[in-house]
Amino acid sequence: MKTRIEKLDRDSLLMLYASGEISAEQKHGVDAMLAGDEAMQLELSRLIDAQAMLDRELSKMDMNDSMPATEAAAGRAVSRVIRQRITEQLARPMKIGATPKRRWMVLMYPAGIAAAVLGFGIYKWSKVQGDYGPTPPKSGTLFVDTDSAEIEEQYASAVLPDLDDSSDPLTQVEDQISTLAAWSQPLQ
Amino acid sequence: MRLTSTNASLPASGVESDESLLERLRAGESAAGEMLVGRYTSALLRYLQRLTGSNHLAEELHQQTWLSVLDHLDRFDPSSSSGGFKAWLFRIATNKANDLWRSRGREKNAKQGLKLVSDDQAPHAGTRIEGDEQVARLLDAIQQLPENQREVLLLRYYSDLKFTEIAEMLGCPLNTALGRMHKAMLKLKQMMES
Repeated sequence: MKTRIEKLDRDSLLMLYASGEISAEQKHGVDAMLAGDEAMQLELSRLIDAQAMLDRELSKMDMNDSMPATEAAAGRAVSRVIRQRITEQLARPMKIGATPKRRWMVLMYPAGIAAAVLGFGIYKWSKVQGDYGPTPPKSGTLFVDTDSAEIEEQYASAVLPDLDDSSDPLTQVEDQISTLAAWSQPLQ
Repeated sequence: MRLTSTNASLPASGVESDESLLERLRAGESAAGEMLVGRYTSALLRYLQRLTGSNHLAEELHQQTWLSVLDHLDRFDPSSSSGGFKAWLFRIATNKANDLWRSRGREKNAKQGLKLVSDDQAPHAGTRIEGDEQVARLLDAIQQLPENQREVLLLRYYSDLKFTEIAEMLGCPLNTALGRMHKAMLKLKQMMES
């Protein structure tokens, strides 16, 4: 995989260059940069020195220093655990690879079918109720109580003045005021 | 339980790939798991030893790492990470070590705690290398590096992963991983020379 070196700062670029993890084409580009930059050359040489020192000292350290546990002993300990785990897992009815998530996925199909059957049953039941039961009010309209509507109508006709439906109520009121004014004139 | 190896197809080099061994381990073949362990025990133990500065903790984390591999075999997807099984294994080991740091308080406290454990249960590796002050100094210098720089440095040396793989593994940009390595190397050189 080609690394995008244009996103790297100078130190990182030199680190990558020193580790040899860049393509030949990219190396050519960095060589060109190095040719005209003495400070960069100096930094690269410092880095290469440090890398050589570390390689040398770390390998010396690993040779002289004993492993935490001998490699064979550590390997045996882990292998024993692996064998034990696999024996336990094979003893169970579930496969090693089957995770709880997958088991849940298996249950999804019958659950989906059950939900579909239930939904269809509710739909059919509501249809039967619609044929034989009371008709629900249409959406957007108020539920009308017939008895109270009749009472309100009677009350309105008894209390409110008998206005001609065909004329404007405001004009009728004005007429009544002017009639009263005519009546009151002789009194003045 | 199948303990004998099956006729798995081998690559041209004659060495069975980690992914193929992992596939066999998934199928319940413990011999494949043992081969994988044998392949990485040395590098992983060394990495953990240098990371924690303690032999005892390195052994404990080594075992925990493999147990975690067994527990999460299904989660490993070779196509999702560029470093393959090795990068996954070292990431688990690094996470285990980080969990340990966290469980023992922040970095400074953890370091002191680990040193105490190390001193109590096993002599410091450096003290066993009599007459080689340079190596003892390097060990101390590594332990003095900040955690993130030490991680990159040790991963680079012991896992032999590429920087792009290390960056991906640690979940940081490549520039950050390289910068940490750059700082760690120069700091170590300076400490060794002082």
